[in-house]
Amino acid sequence: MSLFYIALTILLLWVNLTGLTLVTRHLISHYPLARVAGVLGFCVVFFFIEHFHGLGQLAWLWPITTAASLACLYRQRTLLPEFLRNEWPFILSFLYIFAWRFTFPDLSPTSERITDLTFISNYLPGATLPPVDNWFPPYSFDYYYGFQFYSAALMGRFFGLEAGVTYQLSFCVIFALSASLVWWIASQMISKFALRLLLFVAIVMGGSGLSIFMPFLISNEHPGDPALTQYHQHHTLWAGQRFIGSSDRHINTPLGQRLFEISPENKSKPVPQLPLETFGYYGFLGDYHPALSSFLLLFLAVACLVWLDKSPHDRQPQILLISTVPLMLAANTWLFPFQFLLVLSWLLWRITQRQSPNWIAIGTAGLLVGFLLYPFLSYFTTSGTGPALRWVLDEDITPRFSFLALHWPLVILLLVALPLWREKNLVRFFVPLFIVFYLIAENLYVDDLSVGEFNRTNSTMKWWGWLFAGATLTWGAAALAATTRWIRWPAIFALSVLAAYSFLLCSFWVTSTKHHAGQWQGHAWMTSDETQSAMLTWLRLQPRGIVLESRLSNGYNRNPALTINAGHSAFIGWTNHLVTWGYPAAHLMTRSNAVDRFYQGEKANPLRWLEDQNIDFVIWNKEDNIRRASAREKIDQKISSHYHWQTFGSSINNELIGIWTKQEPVTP
Amino acid sequence: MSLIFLLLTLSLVILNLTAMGLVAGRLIGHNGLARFTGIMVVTVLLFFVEHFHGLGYLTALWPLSTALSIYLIYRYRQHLVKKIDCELIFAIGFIYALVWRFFFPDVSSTGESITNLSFIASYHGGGTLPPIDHWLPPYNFDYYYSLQHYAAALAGRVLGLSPGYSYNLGMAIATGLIAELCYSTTKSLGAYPLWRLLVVVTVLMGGTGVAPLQSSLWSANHNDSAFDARMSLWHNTRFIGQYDQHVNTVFGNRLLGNAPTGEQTVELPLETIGYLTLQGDYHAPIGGFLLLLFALALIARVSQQPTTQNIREPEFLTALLGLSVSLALAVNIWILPLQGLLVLIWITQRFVTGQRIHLLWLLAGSGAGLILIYPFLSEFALATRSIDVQWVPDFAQTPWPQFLILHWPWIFLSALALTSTRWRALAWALVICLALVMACSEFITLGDNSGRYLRFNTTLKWWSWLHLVTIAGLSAIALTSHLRIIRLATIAILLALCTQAVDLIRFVYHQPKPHAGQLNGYGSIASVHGYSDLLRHLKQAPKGIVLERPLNNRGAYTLNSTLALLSGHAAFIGWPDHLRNWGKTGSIIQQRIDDVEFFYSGKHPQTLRWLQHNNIHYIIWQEANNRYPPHAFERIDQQISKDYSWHEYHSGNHRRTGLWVRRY
Repeated sequence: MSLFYIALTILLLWVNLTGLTLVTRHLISHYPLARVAGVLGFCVVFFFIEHFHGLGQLAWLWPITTAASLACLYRQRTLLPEFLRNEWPFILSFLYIFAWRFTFPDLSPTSERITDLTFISNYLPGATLPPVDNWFPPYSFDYYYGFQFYSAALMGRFFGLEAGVTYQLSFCVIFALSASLVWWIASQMISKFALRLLLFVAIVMGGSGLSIFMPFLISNEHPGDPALTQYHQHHTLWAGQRFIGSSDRHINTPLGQRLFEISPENKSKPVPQLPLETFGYYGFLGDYHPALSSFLLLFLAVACLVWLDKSPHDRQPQILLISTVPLMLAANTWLFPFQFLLVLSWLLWRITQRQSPNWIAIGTAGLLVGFLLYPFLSYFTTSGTGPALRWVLDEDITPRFSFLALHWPLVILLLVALPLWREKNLVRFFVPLFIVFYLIAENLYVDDLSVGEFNRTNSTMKWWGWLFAGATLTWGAAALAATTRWIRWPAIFALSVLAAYSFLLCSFWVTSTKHHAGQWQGHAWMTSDETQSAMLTWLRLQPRGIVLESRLSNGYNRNPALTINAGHSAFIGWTNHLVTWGYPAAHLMTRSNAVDRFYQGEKANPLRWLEDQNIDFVIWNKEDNIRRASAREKIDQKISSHYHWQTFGSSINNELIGIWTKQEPVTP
Repeated sequence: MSLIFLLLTLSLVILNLTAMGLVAGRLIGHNGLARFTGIMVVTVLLFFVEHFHGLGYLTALWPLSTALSIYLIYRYRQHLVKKIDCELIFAIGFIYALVWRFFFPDVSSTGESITNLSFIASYHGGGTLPPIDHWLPPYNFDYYYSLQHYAAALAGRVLGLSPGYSYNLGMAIATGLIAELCYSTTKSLGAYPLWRLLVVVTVLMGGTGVAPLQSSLWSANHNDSAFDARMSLWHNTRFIGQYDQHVNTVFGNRLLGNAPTGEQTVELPLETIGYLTLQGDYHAPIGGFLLLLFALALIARVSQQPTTQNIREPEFLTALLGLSVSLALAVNIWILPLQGLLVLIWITQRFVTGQRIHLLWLLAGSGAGLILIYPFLSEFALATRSIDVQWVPDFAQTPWPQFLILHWPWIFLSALALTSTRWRALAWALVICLALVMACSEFITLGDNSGRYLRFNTTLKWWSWLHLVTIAGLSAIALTSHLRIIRLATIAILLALCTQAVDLIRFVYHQPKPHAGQLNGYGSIASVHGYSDLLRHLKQAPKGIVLERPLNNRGAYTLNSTLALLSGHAAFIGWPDHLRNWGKTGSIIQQRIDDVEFFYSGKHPQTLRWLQHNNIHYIIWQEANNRYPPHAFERIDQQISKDYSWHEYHSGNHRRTGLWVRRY
């Protein structure tokens, strides 16, 4: 039944996307670009409107838009064969990523899935923007580049989906949109199908230069233990991405230790953590993080440049290209400088080529998109002091060998692309561009609040993946399109190494256990426990309010996942994250200390405090019993006059698990 | 990122203001007057309407107005090209002021920034006018001539900007308009383009007669260049009665002899636009300067007898001249007699020289202005206290040496302007007008003060006005002289005054800029311990009245109330000295001060009732409140916890900071 519902939802979504694509097709002649432009345009217009007035639930809209889309399909039925010929990369990519999300749907506290789910849940009620921050109410969610999450929530509101399902579906959509652009770029530049496919796989399912070699660097120390073997497989998949300063510490084969000079002495030495997260890795990871938007906008920009290479005077690609800059600001601010420099370089390039861009078109488009984002920028740009750009310190410089180990396929692509300098415009543009970008990324970093070995972590995590995808796509496509064999074959080798990561992915997908396959809400990891399931079901039925859950640690723990899945606001989210996003540390400390004291039963007047903070529900969970079971009685005595206790289950020692609910005062 | 937002904001402002100018240009010709006319008419019309019904937040308006503006700009693009020089001058003035506000965006406690912020904050809510006074709620803000603050708040309401941002943007727009109007005057009078620019620069950055004599009168003792530059501007504007007593060179001492000191002195300031730019004061004199320059530009344009397609242009321009006099009531009432005198003398000159006057149009414009501001006047006239006109007593007479040092540009430029043959009649009219103004300022004073400040406000307003007419009017006439020697002498005088520009540039260069780019004005307040949390909470909270304890005993020029104002709330009490000066009943203010002290000491006899009676929504507890008296927090919390929830941002002994919020 669940699969049927999911299939129907996807079908509805596809019909609507197709309708939108056919409408946009009147303006933009290439289908994949038309679809992306249509989706972005649709979302940005709603984003603009809802800053003036929130439109609430929009589930009444889909019957109308679906009917309109079907009518559109019928009216343009002559175009359908052509459309479907262009559609298969989108559909196949969608199905590929759907397979991942369907079989591994858990939105559990590892990596940023809970964070991303919270961001989507912020936007789901459809209130006037900026919405309330569900991790720190009553404050607004005004400090994060949330356009991607708003777009996901818009789709969820459109089809009346809950937060978890919205997450999964929007992940599939954005991934497939990006992949369809990759295919379009490949097909525009490369004539042979097999070579297009190779480039496509190298980007969409590809890893780093090290990914495929990780089994030779980190061996399974417990081959007999199925659970540990699966963990090892899992580790292998991300070890080639989060290598420098992280998994390089776990190298345990003689070859690996000799190559990377890992010894027991220098193993404990702090090394900067410099992860490289490729687009293909995100498919496996399943984080609906803003990096996905930056990939989409990068591929869109590259697609526009490829289009312009063939038709330099077309207005549409110029308009689309310029629009990616303000959109990047709202979708992934970390990549804004690079996207801006990319487009600026193109403008300068055109001027030096004596092919003046269409200034009126790009000026108008840039301003228009800027104005559409203006209400968002009015609070986002002023909600805190922006992080500063700094020179990389000596101790944070990337270890050269490790860098080369991750990027060596790119070096091959660069070497084989360089001879094409004279004959291909795009090579002359993209080769120096990405070299300069890499130099920037190696010499500068954004100083967020991270310290020590994490100084550059966020910067490289955001930048390297984007640069890697951009360089692989543009240099690889140029090399594969070459007529000379000695250029093509090294490129095929380099891209094959990257694409080989797909074998690891497939192997993991096939062999790993799929406990919660098909449970698309994403909370099965939590609600497989009956008590949790009962609490979630009950909470969902309650009017929206503020829920208090205890703090198990400062981040990456299960609280407040129950609250977010139930559609409420958590009194406090992951404090480390909130600090990184600029919430004043002292205020956070005060709030988190107060929560801790409450759950320890040490708060002098817990009732007064709960009421002062407008807390509607208080969850007492099994972890709270483990930490201080006796506190529950104490708290209950003090708050039971205004907060009604309801038991949902018990811990191993028969200690109660349940929820206190605020009672409305009885008016005589 | 904030720079991107700023650039988008500027694009919106430029598009909308340009379109307003183009629409106004259809009636009065596409010239340097059109933009100001458009802005003024829209502002006054909305000011009138909102006295009957407040329009609330107007953010939904900018997408529509911008779309319309783009259409209008496209449609009338030929007109735009024709007056591109005016557009550029506006942009230069606008960007010049914006650079200042960008580097020094703080609404600081020195000068009148916070006062002006309170006026803007009062209008920012968009309620029916008069609004609630954000320095003394629930009383109305009906005692101040504040159309210019309404205009800044209106811009903020349309663009969805905070009061602090509106303040800084208002300052930049006003300066851009000053530059454009000044340029328009010189252009109409026929000055050579380079000299037009010189006049604009002198108006924006020039000093008083003291400017070229700086180094002869004071020797700088500091290695702090920014401080020296700041002092230099103060020397220019606060010369007589203040800095003339600090002259420390041999030449200076010989020139001034023994300047009177102590009780014998009276302070006689003259404020220039450069000084107001340095101070960052979006004060009423700015609006007064705008009206004056508008009137001068209108006079110059009508005197030029333009030949345009619109045969009604002179009539419309004359009507606007009448309107400018009426609006002085709502913009800066101090200059009303001067503005009236200027127009009267100009009409007389036109009559004597046999030129057409369009008296009916003048009266119609003035009448329309009076009608439009009538709802404002009906409150304002009753709420303000009357000001006595007094003769200047002997002790308050201006000392001659100081007078000459300060006003020599007026004397010389008057003489030079009178040599003009083309504009002789106009020059005589202006010279007579200024002579009368100077004479009035020497014989009478509007006594809103006493002692050494007896003439302070009168000269501050009148001499500044006179100085501006001298630069923008007389020098422009002198620059059109057919005699080269006259032109050269005028240029020499203007360049001498422009020496102050060097100090302004030095100040910008050397002064630390810790909060550059934070145009919301939060910089200085957010750096106070614990205030950034409070600001964040208050910004997002429903609008209400905020109670804050003044942390020193000064009645003005403190940061008190800034937190409330920047976040768009009303402060329970603003600066008591200012409120008293504006005629608010002293007993009410004193009662509030006492009540606040009682409350924060935890000794108020009926705390909760008092809070409810005064409709106080938020109570700020700062770190400093923990020090005196001990245990006051616990006492207060006990008394009000029934109705007020406590939100703590910092905890620990003697560091508790937070906010009580009324339960709704």
